Amino acid sequence: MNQKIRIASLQVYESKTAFLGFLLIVALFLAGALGPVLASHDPLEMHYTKRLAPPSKENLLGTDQFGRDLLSRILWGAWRALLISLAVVVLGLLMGIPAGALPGYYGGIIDNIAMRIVDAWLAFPGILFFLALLAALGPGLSTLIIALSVGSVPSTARLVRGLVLAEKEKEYIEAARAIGENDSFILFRHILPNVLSPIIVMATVSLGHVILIASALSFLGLGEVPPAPSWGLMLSEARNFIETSPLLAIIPGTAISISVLGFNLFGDGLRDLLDPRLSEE
Amino acid sequence: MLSFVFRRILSLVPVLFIVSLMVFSIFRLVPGDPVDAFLGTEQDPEVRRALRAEFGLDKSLPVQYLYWVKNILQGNLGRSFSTQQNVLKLLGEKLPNTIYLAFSSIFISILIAVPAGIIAATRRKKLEDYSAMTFALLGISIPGFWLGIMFILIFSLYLGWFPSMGFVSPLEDPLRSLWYLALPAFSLGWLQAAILTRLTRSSMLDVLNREYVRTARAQGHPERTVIFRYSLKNALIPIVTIVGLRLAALLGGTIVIEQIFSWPGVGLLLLQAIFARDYPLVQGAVLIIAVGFVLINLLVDITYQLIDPRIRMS
Repeated sequence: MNQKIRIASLQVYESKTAFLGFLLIVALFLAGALGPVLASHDPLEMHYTKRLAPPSKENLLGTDQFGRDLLSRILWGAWRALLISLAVVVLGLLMGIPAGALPGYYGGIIDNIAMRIVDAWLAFPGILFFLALLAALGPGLSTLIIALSVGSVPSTARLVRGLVLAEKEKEYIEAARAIGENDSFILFRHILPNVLSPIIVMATVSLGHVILIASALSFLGLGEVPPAPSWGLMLSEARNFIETSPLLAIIPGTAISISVLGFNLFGDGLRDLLDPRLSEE
Repeated sequence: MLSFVFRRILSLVPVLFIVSLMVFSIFRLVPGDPVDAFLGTEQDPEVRRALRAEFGLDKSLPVQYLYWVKNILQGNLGRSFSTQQNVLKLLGEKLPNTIYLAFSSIFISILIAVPAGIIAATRRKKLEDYSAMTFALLGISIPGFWLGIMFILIFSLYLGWFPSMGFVSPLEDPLRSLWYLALPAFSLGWLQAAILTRLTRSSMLDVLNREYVRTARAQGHPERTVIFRYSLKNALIPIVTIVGLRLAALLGGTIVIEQIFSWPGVGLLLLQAIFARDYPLVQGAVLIIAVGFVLINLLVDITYQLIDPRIRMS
């Protein structure tokens, strides 16, 4: 596995698009990690005297309708976007992996019931699920993270279940059973480590997808709440000033697109390298 | 074939059951009680009790669920909290507008994606291929809601070519209707076009490598015939399926686009209902969109079987 990753990282370097994706992700992480330090202004500090100011030496990208520094808000926004995305994907995996691995491993009626639920759940459009849940729970950072991570469970479970199902038929698993290792040891120490690659690929692409959908929900007013420096919220607020200050809308949208593009490029590249079977054509 | 259709329809039962449970739970997850949301500051306990009885909230959960399902099966989705109108009637007025938008954007995306995918596949690893694939990658990375705002900025505020919001019914004035449709349909079709371009390309590449295509070439058929008569026909099968599935997914995507362009569809109605805490209307809209999604998937599955007999056999 380690060697596989080492080879893969060399190949990522060689594949130009995957490397570009990697650079974009690194830039996003740097902006997120250093943003709060680099930001020249407090992202929430309002200055009524310089509302909707154009770019200047002091405010490199100008200010918003409350005189807040746009660049500082974008940098803080990167941190928030990453935080939400990582939290959602990690929580989603913690719920989705057991939800798929156990039915896949034990089969039978558990598998049947679990997969019927997954099928039915996937027959429900994702955005509608989030809207309905957020409408009931109310907007906010924690409800957004809960809704998105719960919503990712069925697709993760289906992927993991398929992988476990195929892996458990292999000979080394039979051997492990023959020497009397117990089920949880076989499942967590033998099977799961061997099916990690496709799960990593899915998680990478999900990181970008979560940034996109979280921005959309915040944009609709159902995700993060003002005055948080969230890219989706910034975009939604910018609509009222688009004629006079188009930068307020252009910059957050560019930030979202570049982040999602980074994860898509890197995810595509990883898929080709770690799991050639899954790649297109 | 009939038995397949029957089995497929039967498989809807658990799906619809879970969908109904999800929609039903929205009402129950609300902190406090929908009656509080409805009454606001009205505190008279008598009024409160009467309303709880009217919504069936004084009964146990399973009874409430059965009562709710029974009403739905009779076509009764309840009354809207905010306008007191029949929910089914409200939704019925908006649904055609959403369908109009969704179908137009799928149509636009096919117009863009199929030629782009064919060109990319036939000019593999050339400039055309790379441009088409770059477009497709941008398509899946750029959020539709941002694109919509940028379209408004460029095409309506700066250039003044299209209106930035609003709706005209195609039955009233078809030309003016198209004028209002253009920006929302393009914003919504963008993602679909990107996905379909990728798919058309890989589907065409797959077919172009087949032996019968090589034979057709060896027989000296012109390239045009090889591509359009022999290859495209077979490459279209997976494309048709995905178009159908994307159409179902579009029902969800319209929500954001309808909001940006003030398009009077079910999505906009749902959002307005959410902010007005109009729970019967929220439930009704979610139910209509979810059931529409499930039914389109069913139709796609059945059509797929009809087009491709090989699948029926297995």
